Amino acid sequence: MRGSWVAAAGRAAGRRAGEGVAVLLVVSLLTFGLLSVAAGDAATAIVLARDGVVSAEAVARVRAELGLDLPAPVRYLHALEGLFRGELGASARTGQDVAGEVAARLGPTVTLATTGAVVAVVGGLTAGAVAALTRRRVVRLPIQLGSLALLSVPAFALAQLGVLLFALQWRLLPTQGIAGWPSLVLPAAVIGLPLAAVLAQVTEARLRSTLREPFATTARARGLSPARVLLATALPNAAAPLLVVIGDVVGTALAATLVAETAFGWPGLGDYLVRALQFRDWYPLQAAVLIIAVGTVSVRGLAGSLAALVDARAGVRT
Amino acid sequence: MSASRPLVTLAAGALVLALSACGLSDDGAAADTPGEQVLRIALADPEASLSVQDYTTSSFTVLDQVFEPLVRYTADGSFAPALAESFEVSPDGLTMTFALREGVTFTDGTPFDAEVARTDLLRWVEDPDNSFLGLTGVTESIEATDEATITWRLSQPYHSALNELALTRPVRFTSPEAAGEPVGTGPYRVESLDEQQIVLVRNDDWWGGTPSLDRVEFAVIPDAAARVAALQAGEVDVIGGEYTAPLALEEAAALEQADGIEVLTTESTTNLLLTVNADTGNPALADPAVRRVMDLAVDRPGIAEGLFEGRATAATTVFPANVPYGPDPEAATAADPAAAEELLEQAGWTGDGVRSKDGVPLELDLVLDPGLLPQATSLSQAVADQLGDVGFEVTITPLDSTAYGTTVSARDFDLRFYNTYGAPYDPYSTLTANFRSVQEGHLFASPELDAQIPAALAAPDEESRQAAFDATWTTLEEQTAAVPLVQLPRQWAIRDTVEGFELGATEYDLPLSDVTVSG
Repeated sequence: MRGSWVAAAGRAAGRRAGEGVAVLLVVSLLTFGLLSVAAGDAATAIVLARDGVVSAEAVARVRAELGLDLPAPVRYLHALEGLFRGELGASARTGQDVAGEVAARLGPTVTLATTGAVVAVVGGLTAGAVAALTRRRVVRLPIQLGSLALLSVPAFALAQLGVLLFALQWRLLPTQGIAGWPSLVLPAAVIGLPLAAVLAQVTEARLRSTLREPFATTARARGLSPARVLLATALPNAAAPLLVVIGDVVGTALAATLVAETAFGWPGLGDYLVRALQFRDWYPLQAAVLIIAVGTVSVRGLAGSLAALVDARAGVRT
Repeated sequence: MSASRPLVTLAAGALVLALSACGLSDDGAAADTPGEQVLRIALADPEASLSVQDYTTSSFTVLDQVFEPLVRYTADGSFAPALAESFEVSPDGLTMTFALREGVTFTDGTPFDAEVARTDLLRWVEDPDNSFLGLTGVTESIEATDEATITWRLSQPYHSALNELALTRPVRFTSPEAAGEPVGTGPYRVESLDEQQIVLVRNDDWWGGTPSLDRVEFAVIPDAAARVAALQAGEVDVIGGEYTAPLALEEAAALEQADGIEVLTTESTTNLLLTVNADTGNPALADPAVRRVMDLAVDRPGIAEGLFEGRATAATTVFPANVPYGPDPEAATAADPAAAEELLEQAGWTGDGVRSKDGVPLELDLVLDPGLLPQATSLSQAVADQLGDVGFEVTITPLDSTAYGTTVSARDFDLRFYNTYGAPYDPYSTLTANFRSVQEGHLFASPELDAQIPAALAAPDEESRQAAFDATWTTLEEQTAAVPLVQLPRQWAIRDTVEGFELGATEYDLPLSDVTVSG
């Protein structure tokens, strides 16, 4: 019995890894395709930055230097081949190795995404559980209105509002930049709170329906407190679907750093990606997009595998 | 119970990771030593390197602290000594003599003498990449006559020689031993440079005395709204400047009301133009009447008041009156749609809705890069509406910087916005680079301008020079070489703890050697 669900979970993980690689290839191909059809290329951007205007011959010279005069499929396959050898290439904008640049920018993004995800998961689960446990409107209404408000405010507006109140009005936090933990609070909140709102709504609905199941009624009849019923029976039963949502939430937190980095001037991967895109700079763009995609895909995959694991175990127990 | 454990573990693991990662981010803010004079200035874009030898660095005001020219442009259009203690132009205009300041060294200890100066001057004068600078074409020879004298011979008189020598790139001096590092003779030298900030420290050996600040920190804040918030929160002391950390007009109005902040506004020497691609755009634009109509249909006072909150002034000439030898200012008048329509009828552009002539409709494509001008989007809509009222149809195409540059360079557009360079380039360089047919990227060209512009630059005396420029201004206006819109102000904002802060003579300069910070 025990062996079979481990094997099932293993197979599921293997299938997810395969799907993940396929997703990454599609993402990479799509990004390259879109970049190829955009007006201008890295050679144009270099000449523009250098001379202010572009002349056909100057662009042609730079293009030949960078190997951008080769056909697009050849360039793409060349980059892909390098990737499989573990080479991320060099940036046309700065001339530096992408690996080093990305490494320097990974820290801020990982910090931001992780903190945002923690805010989302802890805040979302707690608010959802509290709302599910009680019938009292004084508790439920603020949670419901709060999550509705967080869901309807665009991230940029939330960022500005946060700066206005916490940095300018009360002077508690810095307006932007990356210096110590105070500078982490606002961007993490901007990433985490809207996701916490999503998670809170799903959690509340899930737990409520689980609490109406016969086994919950039985547990209550046996004299367990509502909180214990929730923790001991409802939460394990709701865990699998919640884990899938949490995977989505954490994955989205990674993507949401893009907006937060721009608004708060964090020199992370999102900012790197935007600059690479504006410069039509393929190697940095490829690296940034793939790292974000790998993060998102693996977090979702991990959550999915965990859900399968939890689900199987729940099944064994009944 | 057990099933919820992975969840808890995951959350706990993430928290540990987040908190541990926090530690690494503290090195961004270097602790200031008490009593140190530190000025913090916002910078919109990070720089990968600082160089005046090519065109890769666009943070001019950072370069200005580190690198110096022979002469400096002053607000009244005259020139002040810098690395040249004095200078003289011969009566025939063919020889310039510069007496170099003695005892000047680069911050790496290399002496700055006539031989070093000559080599560095030839670096850019002989480089064909710099052909937009007239000196590259008229230089006969540059000699180090003695250790402290440079004698520069020209093949013909060239009036804007000193303007070009006051520029930042590519003309200022770099140490011959610099090997790619930013080493100049200026009041500050570079201590560190990364994506987040550029830190400059005082050059104690500066020839001009001891600079007042210990450090100047340029903090990179790409978002315009975040810069304003950072100033209000006291995280930076200075924001603003076209090439430093642009301050939007509407934000300046709000900052004026804020406590502890002073907004500095002065007249600029640049005009914002709506330029027409008369060569390769819609053939209608080759008709002078059509261009004249556009000039009549645009409501400048309305735009200055409505879109720029009254902080810009309506422009009636291609160049503002305050550039050297500038045109006489004219009173701005409101749009005259009736006259515009009458003129179009006379010129044969007829029809209801979108007018046309010989099968060519008055359909124009206006390209813009919102990143270049914050008001570009609303301005383009106003212009499209006003031209629409008299029978044009204007399509607005917003592009990112690379796509915009590509489109403009391929001359694949009908209309676009353009800011004249301003002092110390103007009027010479904008005329040379933008209104002559030999320049590939010109805004507008005609045989008359091709003859008049070189004549103005080579005029031997004040009187003939003014006359030649006046003839050029008349042609620009008669041919509607561009539609002038507004003259935008130069805007900066500082905290009131900053003392002695004055705007440079141009947006490319920022004098900081006498600034102090209190509190």
